[in-house]
Amino acid sequence: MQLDATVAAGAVEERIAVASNWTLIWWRFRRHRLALFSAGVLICLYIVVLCPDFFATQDPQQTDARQAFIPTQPLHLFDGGWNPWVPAIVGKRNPITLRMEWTTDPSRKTHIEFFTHGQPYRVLGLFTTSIHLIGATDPAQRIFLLGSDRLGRDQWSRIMHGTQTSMTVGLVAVTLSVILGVVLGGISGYFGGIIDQVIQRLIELLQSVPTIPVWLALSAALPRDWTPTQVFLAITVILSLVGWTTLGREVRGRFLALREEDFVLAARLAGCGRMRIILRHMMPTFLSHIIATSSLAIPVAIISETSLSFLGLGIRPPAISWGVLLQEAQNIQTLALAPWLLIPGLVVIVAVLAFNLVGDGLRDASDPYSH
Amino acid sequence: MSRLAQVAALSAFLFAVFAFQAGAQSKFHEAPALAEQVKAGKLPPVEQRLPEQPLVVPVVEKIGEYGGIWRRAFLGPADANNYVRVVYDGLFRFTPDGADIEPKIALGAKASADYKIWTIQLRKGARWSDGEAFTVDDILFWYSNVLLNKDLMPTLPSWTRNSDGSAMKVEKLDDYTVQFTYDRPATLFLSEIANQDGPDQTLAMFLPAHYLKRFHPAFAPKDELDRMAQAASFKSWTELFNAKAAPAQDPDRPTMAAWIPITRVSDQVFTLKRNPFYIGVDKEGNQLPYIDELRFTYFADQQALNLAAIAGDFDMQERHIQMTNYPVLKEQEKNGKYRVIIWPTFGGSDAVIAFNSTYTADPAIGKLLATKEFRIALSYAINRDEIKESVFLGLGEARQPVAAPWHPYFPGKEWATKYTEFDRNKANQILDALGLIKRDPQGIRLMENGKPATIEISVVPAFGAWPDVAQLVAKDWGAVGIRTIVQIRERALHFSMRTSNQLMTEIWNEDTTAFPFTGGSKFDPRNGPLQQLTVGPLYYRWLTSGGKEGVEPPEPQKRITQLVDAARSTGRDGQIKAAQELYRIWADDVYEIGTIGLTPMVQGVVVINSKMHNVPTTLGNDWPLRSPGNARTEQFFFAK
Amino acid sequence: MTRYITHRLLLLPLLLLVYSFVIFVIIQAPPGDFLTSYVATLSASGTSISAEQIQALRHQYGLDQPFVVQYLYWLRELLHGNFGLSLEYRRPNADLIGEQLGLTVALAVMSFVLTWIIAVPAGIYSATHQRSVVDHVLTVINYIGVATPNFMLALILMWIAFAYFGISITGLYSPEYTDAPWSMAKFVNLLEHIWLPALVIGIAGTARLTRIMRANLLDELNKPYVVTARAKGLREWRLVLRYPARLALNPLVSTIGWYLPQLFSGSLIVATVMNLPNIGPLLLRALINQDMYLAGAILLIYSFLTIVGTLLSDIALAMMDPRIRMGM
Repeated sequence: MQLDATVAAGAVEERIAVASNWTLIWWRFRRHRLALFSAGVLICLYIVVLCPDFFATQDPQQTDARQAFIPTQPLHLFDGGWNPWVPAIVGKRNPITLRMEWTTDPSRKTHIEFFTHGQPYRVLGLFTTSIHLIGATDPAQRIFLLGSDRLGRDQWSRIMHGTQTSMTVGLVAVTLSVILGVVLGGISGYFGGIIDQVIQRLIELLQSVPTIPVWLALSAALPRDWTPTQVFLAITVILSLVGWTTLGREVRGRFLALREEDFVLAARLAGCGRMRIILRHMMPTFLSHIIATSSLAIPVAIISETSLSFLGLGIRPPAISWGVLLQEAQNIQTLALAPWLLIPGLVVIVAVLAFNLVGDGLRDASDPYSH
Repeated sequence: MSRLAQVAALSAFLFAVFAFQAGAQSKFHEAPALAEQVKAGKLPPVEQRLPEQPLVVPVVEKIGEYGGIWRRAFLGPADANNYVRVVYDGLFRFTPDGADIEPKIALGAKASADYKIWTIQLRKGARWSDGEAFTVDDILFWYSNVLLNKDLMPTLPSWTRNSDGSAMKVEKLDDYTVQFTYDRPATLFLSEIANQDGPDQTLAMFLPAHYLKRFHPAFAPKDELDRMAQAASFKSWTELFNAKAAPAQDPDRPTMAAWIPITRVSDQVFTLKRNPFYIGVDKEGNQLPYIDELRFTYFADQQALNLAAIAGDFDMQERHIQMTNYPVLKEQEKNGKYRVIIWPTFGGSDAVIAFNSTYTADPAIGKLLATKEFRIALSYAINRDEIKESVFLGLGEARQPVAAPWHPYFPGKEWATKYTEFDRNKANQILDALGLIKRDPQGIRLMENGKPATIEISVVPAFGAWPDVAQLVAKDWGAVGIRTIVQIRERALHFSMRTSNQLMTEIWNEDTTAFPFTGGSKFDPRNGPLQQLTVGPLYYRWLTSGGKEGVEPPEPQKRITQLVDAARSTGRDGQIKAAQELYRIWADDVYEIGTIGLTPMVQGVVVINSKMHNVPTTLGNDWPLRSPGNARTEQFFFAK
Repeated sequence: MTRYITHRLLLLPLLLLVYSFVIFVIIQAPPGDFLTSYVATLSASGTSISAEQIQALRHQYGLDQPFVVQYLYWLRELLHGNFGLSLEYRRPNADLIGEQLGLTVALAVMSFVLTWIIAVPAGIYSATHQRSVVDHVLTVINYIGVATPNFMLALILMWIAFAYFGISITGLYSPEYTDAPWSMAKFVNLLEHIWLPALVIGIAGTARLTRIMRANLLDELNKPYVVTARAKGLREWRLVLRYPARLALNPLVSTIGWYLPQLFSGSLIVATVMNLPNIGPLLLRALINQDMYLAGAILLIYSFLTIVGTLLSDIALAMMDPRIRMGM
């Protein structure tokens, strides 16, 4: 018995000893429950990114003046057995305050079903289908799971489409920033001297020019016939060229400190080339720091997009993004009469939370000194 | 004479003197604060401060009480017209219903039979806010030293010009009578000078000569002026002069308005105090204004301003109040702090889509935009009911941008509602008849050159509602096979594109329909794309270059310029006829497709403190009327 | 070290020259100029102005000159110490900036202090009590703080304050105190109003700082010297605060120099939404209205402070970490 236990323990140890670095990271990550859960959330979000139309209940741009400012319709699942429905609503404009007032009509129900046939759409530009996750049984009726906005558009569908735009843009911008930051910061810190000076001055120049006037100028300078999304991607790329500077400075600080370490000297003496020393020996020591910072950078990019749309400089209607949705909700009329239109803010918070927790988990998992 | 008779005569005389004095004493009254200053010897008594014939201002409800501070909000120095409108400091002003012009600072005006000579009578004894006499010299100072000074005015405003381009003549007949002489009839003279009250960045037609003399090279040495300009960081004496002549920028500058600035429009709080020499009284002889002080608080953001209005922080505010906040305001009304009323726009249409008939960047689209039937079809394709319900809270009515139904210039219901029925079939028929029969796989009509018909609507989110209108219109036009792209642009970009003829269509509002002949008329193509919407920037170039550049305007546009010229030389009846014809042309040719009009979109939702009275419930609401100035703001008062 | 500093200081004027040109290009790049924007503003508020008037103003303001002439004019004025005139306010820019400076700095300092007071201890606690309930709670609160766009928070909080508490929080003072001279009552009034904006502005910064502090400290805590110190019997709190915490602050110090320009410009969007008399909204307005001398002046001061701030950061970094000093 005791021998078996010892053998078993020995087997486990051996597994750990021969496992590759990334396997170890995965095992450690798995134990961080919150991070695992957040990773699941992110995967769900990215599935929506791939195919928002499947999740949407109708065309996000369809307007109807008679259906403006409808509150969220609660979903009921049972009606004498499994028969999901939402209550029908009746609206009337208050003659004194001119507010649209909605009441539920308990006698009428709008039945809904899952995997229903609705408006046809293309998936990733490859094939056409018309299956939606959820929709009204009678395709002529509209349901508003998260309410409608001031033009009578369905918020649920708009959030789905907004997710696609915002998450994509965040990822692209940050990937570029990270690459630039690590490469330039590393070169600056490792070589020192003139190269360091030039790169540092460049960083200062980029840092001291605030983003808003750059945006004002760029949004005027871009070709007029570009679609709003193309324009925004272009500007995001340019912004990421400005955004790498924070990481660049921090990487440089680390490099300056690490340059004098023994293992770097050893690697040099062993005949390693400069690039190899930087990438294989020095970088892994602060990989966790890079991960921590970049996991915070994606949501920062998302928030930047939101802020700029707020100023009217980022994505603009009729394109849809979280920023556009929040900008349209950014007024007293919404706060006072239609607070459900702030739900995209909750979605932003959930996404950002998920990114940060995953980043935290990755950082803890990849830190070679923690157990 | 007998002794008794002598005593009787003396007593009668003394009695008469006392009676006269008593009568004089009880004839006019003033605010308590001013009365104290008179007692302290700092101010002359009220009879001496008022002119011999003061302006008698009728009250809306009842005679008011003195006192109170009127709190308002403004958005910064560029919003100086907020103040200009409230005080409406002009020689003449428009009546509350916008139909007539009444004298204000001036006593009256007379025109010669041929309307070439106008004589204006000023009030004897009227004084500036610092006590100096207000005479014809102040108007002459403006004429000789500002209007005719090439540095201050490089080009003459159109209302001062003779038919040969030279300036009209202004002569002093006596201290209180001034004569204006033109070489052509000037029937709209009064309408023009009712707007010469010195709006932002413009000089009024009467200036305090005694104060401004030392800032003008005709009276002050040049190096002294240069030194003063330098000290204030100005480049030249003209900037200095303009800054000193603007009441909102210089609190020391005397004015004739009911309230005088004591801080500047560039401060956090722009404060104005009662003018002790104001020329107005109510019919019981109380010197106006009733309200002691006017306080404008600076807001950087319009949302914060609206929130403060909802919280009841203002006493009478209509400017920058967004129409979409009407439901919230009305709901809060029950707290009793304020009441909310509506002043609809004075005619026109609150969201029009203007088509550029001289668009050159894409000849195929340009041809369509210039085709009247195309515009008519697109007008039929718009579901105005949906726009009215979702964008305008169900207020207003569908109409083309013509004068209001209650105004004499109204062309008739048939024209006001021309092409405003929602008829998709008719729209499709007309588009088919134009040759746009073939469609691409998405259902968009193909033009002659085989490309899909695509129109761009340029819109500035100025009043919040317009981007929504643009999107609804885009959807409607898409349904009849015209692809429409909505471009939301920032203000300056939109305007510079308009002047350089780069816009296809744009959304803006069409107001000032009661003034198609005066000032910066938006209907006269000779006024250029800074005034007019993008109806035809190249027509402007053709008309101002004498036919050398640009594109020749079509007959209806030329007819409009003729009508404008004709109206300037006929009397009121002739003007009414000319205006009606102008609006019939405008509606018929739909250079601008009107959607909904007569809503309170622009300064139409008014939040009034429950304690404030004498605010009219209906008012002509338009810029030339300087609303709320035409409501006779000096008779507003706070009940205790 | 002294050589290094003087070397950097000598570069300062050259850099400012380059920056001034870049700034001027950026401000002038959008089409149109101040008057175009002005006409648009007037039009959007239902007013009009004649074309002749615009032409006269354009000539008066010197906006009809070519780009290079305008730039050289601006440069010449700057060299004479004259920041120029604001086209919108019609007053010297130095006055405008000076008036707003005090409150801007006050608000920024308050946000900064709030941020660091909360973030550093929270980060240290989080790192030393990893995976505990408090750590998780703090983490989630932090992330929510980062995730919420703070301008949105601003308007929501203002509305909630009004709708549910009846408080109208717009601006830094109640109306009676706005132009009144300084007094104890005015100071109290200021404190009553300033906590909300300082909080809103500071939230995102707090979260970020806490996270980085936590990450850095975790790195340090796993180093061998910590194990040694623990084995030698040094008490936990003394240990943590004396060595690893100071080293963990290292990367943060390199960013401290950037607070200097922040102090000056404040938070652009939040200050605008909350209607605070700050240089941030002043700059935003100037940029949108193309009030070029005002925008240029503010941006130039901002750039100057950034350069100085970076220099201070580098000096601080060198002082804290002898390894870097040796490499200079």
